[in-house]
Amino acid sequence: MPRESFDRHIHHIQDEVLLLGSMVEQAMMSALDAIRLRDFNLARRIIRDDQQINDKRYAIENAILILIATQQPVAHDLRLVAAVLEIIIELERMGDYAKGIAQVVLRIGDAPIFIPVQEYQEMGAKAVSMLHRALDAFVKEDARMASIIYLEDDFIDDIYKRVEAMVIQNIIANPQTCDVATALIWAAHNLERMGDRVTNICERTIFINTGEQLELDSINPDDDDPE
Amino acid sequence: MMETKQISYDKVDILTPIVERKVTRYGESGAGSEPQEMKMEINNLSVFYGKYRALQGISIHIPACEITAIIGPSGCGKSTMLRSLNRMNDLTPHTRIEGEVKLDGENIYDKNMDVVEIRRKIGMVFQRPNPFPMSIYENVAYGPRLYGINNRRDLNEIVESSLKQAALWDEVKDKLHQSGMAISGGQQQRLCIARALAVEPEVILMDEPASALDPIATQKIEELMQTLKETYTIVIVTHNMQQAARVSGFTAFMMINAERSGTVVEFATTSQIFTNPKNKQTEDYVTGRFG
Amino acid sequence: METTQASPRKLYIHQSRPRYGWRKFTNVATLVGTGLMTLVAIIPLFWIVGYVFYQGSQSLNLAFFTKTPLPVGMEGGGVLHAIEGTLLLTLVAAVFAIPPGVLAGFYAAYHANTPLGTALRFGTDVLSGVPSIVIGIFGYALFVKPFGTYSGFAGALAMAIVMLPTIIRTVEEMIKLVPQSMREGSLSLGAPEWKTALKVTLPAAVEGIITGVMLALARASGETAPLLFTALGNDHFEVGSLVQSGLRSGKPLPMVLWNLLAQPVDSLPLTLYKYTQQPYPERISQAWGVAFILMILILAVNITARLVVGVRASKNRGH
Repeated sequence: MPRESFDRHIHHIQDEVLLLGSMVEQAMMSALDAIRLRDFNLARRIIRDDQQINDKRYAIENAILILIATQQPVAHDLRLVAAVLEIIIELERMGDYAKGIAQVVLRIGDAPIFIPVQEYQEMGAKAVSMLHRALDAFVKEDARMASIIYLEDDFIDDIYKRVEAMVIQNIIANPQTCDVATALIWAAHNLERMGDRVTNICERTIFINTGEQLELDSINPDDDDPE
Repeated sequence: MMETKQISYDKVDILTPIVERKVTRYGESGAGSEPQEMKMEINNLSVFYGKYRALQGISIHIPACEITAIIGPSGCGKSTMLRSLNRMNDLTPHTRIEGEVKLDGENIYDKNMDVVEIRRKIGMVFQRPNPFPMSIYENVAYGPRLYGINNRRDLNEIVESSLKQAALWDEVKDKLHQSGMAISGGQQQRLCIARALAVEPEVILMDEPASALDPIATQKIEELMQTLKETYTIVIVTHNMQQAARVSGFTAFMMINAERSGTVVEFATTSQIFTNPKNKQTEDYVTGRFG
Repeated sequence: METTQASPRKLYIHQSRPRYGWRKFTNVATLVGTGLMTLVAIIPLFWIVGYVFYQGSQSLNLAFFTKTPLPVGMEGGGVLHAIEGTLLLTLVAAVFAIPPGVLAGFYAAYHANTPLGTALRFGTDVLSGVPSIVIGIFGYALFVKPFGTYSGFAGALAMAIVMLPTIIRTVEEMIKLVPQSMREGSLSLGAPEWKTALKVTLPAAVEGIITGVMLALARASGETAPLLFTALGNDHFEVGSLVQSGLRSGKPLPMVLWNLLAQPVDSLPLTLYKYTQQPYPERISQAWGVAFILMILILAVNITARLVVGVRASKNRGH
């Protein structure tokens, strides 16, 4: 029974990561609902609950540090804990994006929005689906799966470009809607970034498995978000 | 209506080329990327005790002025391997060697090689400190005296320089005439290192040099090794993996194969062995999931 | 993580524990028993020593130590001849026995598994069991008869044969006690095997060897039987006067010394034996005196041996 207690710790941490992931998924889906239903209470709840996501991220980070100090993981185990440290950051940022969308809902208030809500729903649904599968691949250490998921980010990017175009048109046509327009862009941008974060999670999963430190680029290089 | 871009996934297989490509590490200082000068070459070495084959087909290169660690489970032949490097195996009766061990290009097992000179050039430090029952001075001077150096002033210089190189001079300079067995275990081990250094070796072999010492003494020895490696080539056998990871630049992992002989399973830079070993047995061993 | 309620473990030891009182009793009983037996074992030693000292001291005086024997009935005789004889014979026997003994001991330790080594160890064991009187007769046949005279040489040689097995065995044991790691340390520096033996192993073993050799000498010097038929005994043996007369008659010193041993020599145990055979009370009390001297000799050697070991050990420990 080599390293049983170590393995138990690792599995516990992986479970916690999955838990954090589902908290983030929940926040994202609530944010999409908030946009669709213009539900201010829901938005406020999302903003409040982001604190739990932050707390969980730090709890996992602590557990990792203790594991490193006491168990001296090497080779695959080391790559795994290093990857987890990165992944929880990505997840926490995604939680912040969900919070950002909720804040947009509150900022827009009752003003009319000129972008079909459907666009947001599709971006968000795709992002949630990607995240779910990416975390699945992480737990199973399925690098092959991880190397495919990120490609779907293009789907999100395309929708974002459409939304961006619509908003710009609107700003030109109706300058007084600038406020709402920027808020809408911001929300769309957050959803687009979620896709990028999931890509990072896939990179880390490949790293655990192969030790390769890669950048997974989109097939169309000019789609890259110059951030 | 949204168009969904049709992505054919089979064209975008990025994973296979990665897995099949030889992994190259980024961002490492030196080790592995520059051509290393090889101090010792071991070619297809097998060691037999009578009919029993203790080591089989060992082929590795020991880079000069580096610390090479040999790790592996108990009984895998690490010490046998180390002792083959300075022909200490000759002392065990019924020992037979196949293959060659080259120092600077010359096979040390050649018929016309002088064993005494080989053992001078390739020194050894043992697991339990073994100072002679003489004064500290005499312990260090024993080696040079063997080689004909009897001038008092020369010996004084050699003793002082060796003890300084072994980081022991300051602690014993006022009691050089005390018995070598009257100092602490860690100091005794450094005395044995000084003794080995006094004959001007080129390679120093260490067989679990710190396993009988407490953590502080161990740490002093490890620090000492870092200083020594600038001048000497060091090969260390250790069962303490963290120690191997801390001190060495290159690591050889040994195991017993199906025919109950010891072999080298993987030999690579230490960073590779401990972050991304190629062989599953190596991975299992360093992560503690062996056996 | 689930926690299982541990089912109450069946305890065996709790029930069958013997009572504390019983344990105490057996402890004390064993202590008393072994203590008594120890006394029983020690008593003969103290009794002998005490009795000898008591009896022997009555005939001790300065003349006893400094004069050769005088005929019975005359006052002032001594056993100088025997004292000098014992010392001389032991010395010469040591010279004969130590070099081959030490070298053979080395051989036995280093080449234990060769045919010669095994034969050596077996032979040593057998020889140490041979009764010393047999060695005496052997000495007569080999060292006395061919030369036509009893002599100190023959006696010394016989004593050497008695000492030899003990020396060989002691040397072998002491060398084996030197840790292999020390030998390897020397060899790994490039020293050849013989230099290692001489400069590392021997110094490490030397105090044990010295002790063993001293004890072997002491035992051999107390043997009577080997000397009965070889050195024979010589009431008029006195080194000082023999040397003087030899030199005065013009012989060179080496020859004088040779002649010392080429004649019969006496020794303390031999004298003791002879005196007890005689019916004169003066001789009997002198015999007790000789016994006294022998005891002192043995005690002195043993104490010195212990002191030597103690000094060297504390030097090695560093204080």
